[in-house]
Amino acid sequence: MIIAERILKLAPGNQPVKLSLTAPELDNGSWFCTYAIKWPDGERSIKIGGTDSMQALVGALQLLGAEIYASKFHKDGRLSFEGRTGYGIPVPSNFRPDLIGDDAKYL
Amino acid sequence: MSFSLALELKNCLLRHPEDEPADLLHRVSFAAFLKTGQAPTAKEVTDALLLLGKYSPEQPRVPAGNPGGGQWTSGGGSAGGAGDWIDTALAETCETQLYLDGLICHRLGSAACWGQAQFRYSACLRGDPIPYFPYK
Repeated sequence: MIIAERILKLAPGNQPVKLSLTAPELDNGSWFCTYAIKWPDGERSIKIGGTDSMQALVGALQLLGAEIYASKFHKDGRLSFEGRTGYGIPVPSNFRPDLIGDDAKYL
Repeated sequence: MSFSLALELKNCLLRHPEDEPADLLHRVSFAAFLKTGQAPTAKEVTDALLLLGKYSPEQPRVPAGNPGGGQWTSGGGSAGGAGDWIDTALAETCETQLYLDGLICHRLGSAACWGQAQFRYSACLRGDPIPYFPYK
């Protein structure tokens, strides 16, 4: 079950890039959340595990942020969200030096 | 005593010839972890599987990160592949690592282990050195 979505824009042409996150699900004692990114030429979907639902949820959200910052589209400066700089999604600590604009200021 | 991933894989194949590649990975990564205290890297496992002719890099996989995912499929699955947005080889390496780490953490049920698995995946995506995986 998807619990959160966000649409980023990809230049040129403002192509939509849909981000989504599922609710944590229990599977044989571990919890898993799936994040997905629908790039214009394909979808990337990864399950992140945790010992409880909170760890799976926080990890998935942060690693979704990491995927965006690790993408070539971000590095080329082609991604945006609602006209601001940054995407408003938390990242793991090793990505903090890479944060831009409002992300660097507020996350 | 030194540990050989290729030898462990070979022994597993002899003992469990019915194993699918994902089951094999599960057995071998956990054995490696128990014997060396470290999870094998994605490259080590891939190299060992290639050596035994049990893995094709072109074979698609379902998304990684949990016991039900990251498995090599027979093709046509819902593979979370990579495209223009990310380096394909890097994405595959990171997903395999996340899958192997996830197998161990799932068995251990350790919050520290899961936290480190997540951080190792993040380091892989960023192209940073992969931190040691002590889980404790």
